[in-house]
Amino acid sequence: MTAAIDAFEAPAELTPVRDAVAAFVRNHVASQARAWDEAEALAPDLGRRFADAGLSGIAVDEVQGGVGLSWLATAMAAGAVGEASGSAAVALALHECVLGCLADAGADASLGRALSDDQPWTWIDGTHDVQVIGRGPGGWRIRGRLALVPVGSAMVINVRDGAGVAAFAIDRGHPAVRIERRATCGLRALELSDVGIDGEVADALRIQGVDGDALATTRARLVALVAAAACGIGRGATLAAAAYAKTREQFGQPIAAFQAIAWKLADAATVLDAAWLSVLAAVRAIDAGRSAEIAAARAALASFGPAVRACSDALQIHGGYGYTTEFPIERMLRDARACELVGGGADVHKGAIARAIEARVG
Amino acid sequence: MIDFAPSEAARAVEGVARKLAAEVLAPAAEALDRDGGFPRVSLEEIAKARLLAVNLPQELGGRAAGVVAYSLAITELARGCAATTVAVCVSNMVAEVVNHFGTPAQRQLHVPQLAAGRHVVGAFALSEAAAGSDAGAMRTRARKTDRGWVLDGGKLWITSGSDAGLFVVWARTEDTPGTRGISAFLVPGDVAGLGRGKPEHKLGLRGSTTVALDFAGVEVPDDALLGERGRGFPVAMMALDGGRIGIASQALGIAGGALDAATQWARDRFGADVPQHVQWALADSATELEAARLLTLRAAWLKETGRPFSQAASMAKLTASERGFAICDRLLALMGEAAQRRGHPVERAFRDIRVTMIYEGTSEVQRVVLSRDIMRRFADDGGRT
Ligand SMILES: Cc1cc2nc3c(=O)[nH]c(=O)nc-3n(C[C@H](O)[C@H](O)[C@H](O)COP(=O)(O)OP(=O)(O)OC[C@H]3O[C@@H](n4cnc5c(N)ncnc54)[C@H](O)[C@@H]3O)c2cc1C
Repeated sequence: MTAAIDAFEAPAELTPVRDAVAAFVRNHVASQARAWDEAEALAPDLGRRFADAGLSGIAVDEVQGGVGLSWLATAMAAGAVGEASGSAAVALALHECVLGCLADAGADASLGRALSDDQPWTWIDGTHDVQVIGRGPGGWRIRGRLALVPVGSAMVINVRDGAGVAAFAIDRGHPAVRIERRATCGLRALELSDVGIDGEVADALRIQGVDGDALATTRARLVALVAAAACGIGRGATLAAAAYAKTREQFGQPIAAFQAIAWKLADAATVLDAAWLSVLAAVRAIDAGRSAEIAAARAALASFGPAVRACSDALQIHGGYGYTTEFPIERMLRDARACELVGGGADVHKGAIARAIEARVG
Repeated sequence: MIDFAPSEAARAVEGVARKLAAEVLAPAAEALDRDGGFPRVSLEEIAKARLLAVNLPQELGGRAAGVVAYSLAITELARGCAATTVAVCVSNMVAEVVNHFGTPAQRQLHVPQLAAGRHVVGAFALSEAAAGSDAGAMRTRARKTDRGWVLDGGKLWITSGSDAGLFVVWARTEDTPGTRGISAFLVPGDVAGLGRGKPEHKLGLRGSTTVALDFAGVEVPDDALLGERGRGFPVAMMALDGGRIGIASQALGIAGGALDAATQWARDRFGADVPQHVQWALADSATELEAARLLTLRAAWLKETGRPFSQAASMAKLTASERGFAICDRLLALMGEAAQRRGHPVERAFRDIRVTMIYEGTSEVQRVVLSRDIMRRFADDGGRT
């Protein structure tokens, strides 16, 4: 990360975490991102590696077993990991949302399990697709189908419960859960799956105290963090393209000398910086405890499209090489486009922002 | 009066291609994309339908259907399978270049073979590792001997290079640098000393092989020289002018297929109550596609009627590839979870179409060439573009 493509200088107290993330990305992500994509699976101990690097529960209080920093620090981590692996960055975002939600709810047992798990967990908003349909001898009966959601070693699944919401921490092997792994365009190493849920879930797995507000809070965190990951993907692609453009020669000069190449880099740096500022606005609101739904939606809108554009331009700069899997750019393009699967589509975000503007003028 | 209607004959060829696309290419496309490989069987069917020589004389086994028919046929085939279609594009281009620049003997020998698919397909070997946009920087050499020529060097990214039975290969024959001193050769696929690399793994077009070629003392006879010695570069450039009509048509077909799938999705999902963000995406995509189609068919018509078409072909390729990618990207984002599944037509289209902005001259190269043309015309036409 250089100032030229990241307007934001980390505040002094975050310099250590920035350096830790950079080292983590260098040692654990960069060299493996391609293999994860090809295997369509992340490292089986990625959760452990996050934790060892101080990247587990980044915004969770130290007394609860977290790192005790902030969502700003979490976004920095998601962005930096995204520069090397979109799948790992989104996995980090999901895991951090799980930890934040469990910590907020005081669900210490589940939080302890999630913090010590070798694999990351995922957080799923299933309130449109899954509902509590009653009680049975074994606990809450829930039923529904989730399309293309990320599956972790366990999932915090939010479901509809009458007029309200309920959240459950469910292991992937739970008998009520049927997971059908799907191949996707991007974020292939995330375990995106169609998930059928039908059965009884023990009382102990219900996370008490998750209401509509808590759901909205975690949703905003996730949207902002996936936006941060997307910015990271775009940044990674742009930096790779800049490095390539300086060494690739055509017509007797480095292609970076052509305006057509240089300006693509300038455009990408500009829009990605703007997107990053909108991510910062969102995580600052989150850290300050303000409602962040709209700020997060804006961050998503500002990030997803420009990230795709930056990756596509980076691919173009790489010419024919960029189209091959020898270079990371084609993966980054796919991953950038797939961020919306987890972070929400433009239609959702634009709807929310428009409603907020209308509300503001009366 | 401007007549926008293709002839009956062109429509007939389009119909043949549409049928092949639906019955042969489309059913195989998903597995081909997933597993990679080379679409031999589909190409045999395409050869039987004489679509490997759409714009070549009948007496040489071609269809003599013209360039508009060619463009329409490629668009239809690409709706079925973009990867198979690029092999068809390149083979047609090779047949045309032999027909145009070859001696009567070369024409008689190679065009009927290409048309009938007896070479499987033809391949076009211009690019090298360090010479892509700047093809004139190529290093492959051909040395004159008593018996003919000896080729040494390497090519990169050669479409169908794994299976092609005939290659047009460009090599440096003179010591002059740059685009001068390059000659074109017809090299059979089974010649000694020709090494074919492993196909590249790619974002898309995974059913088309893209391979490196290695020439280690490859001997070819004197009559392998295509066109004049030292005048090979213009041969390549003229071939690519026509080729761009094919690539524009391919992009039209890929994006058109994505739009079909998105429209079907919109109907199934929303019925009569399609939200405006979906309506807008369909409307913009169809409008952009239509603009690209008109440019492409115009370029085809100019070439067919013997008029200068190079600029029109560049504009068509630039527009169809860039708008086509924008359309596929927009539709993928629009459909979200429904389309992000691997192998979904829109997902495959997104990956396949991206390369049309790169091969046969990148978008940047089209703009360089176009602006040069515009400036020249401005000067020639007394200050009008
Ligand atoms: C799937 C596939 C199939 C292919 N099939 C064939 C084939 O059958 N036969 C064949 O010969 N080749 C083939 N190619 C090669 C293709 O034609 C080249 O990739 C293409 O010409 C670009 O060259 P390059 O990749 O070396 O990129 P480079 O030339 O290195 O270009 C890199 C970037 O610099 C830009 N650039 C270069 N020069 C300028 C300039 N003057 N001004 C502004 N920008 C510039 C380019 O537009 C690009 O964005 C294929 C490539 C692919 C990916």
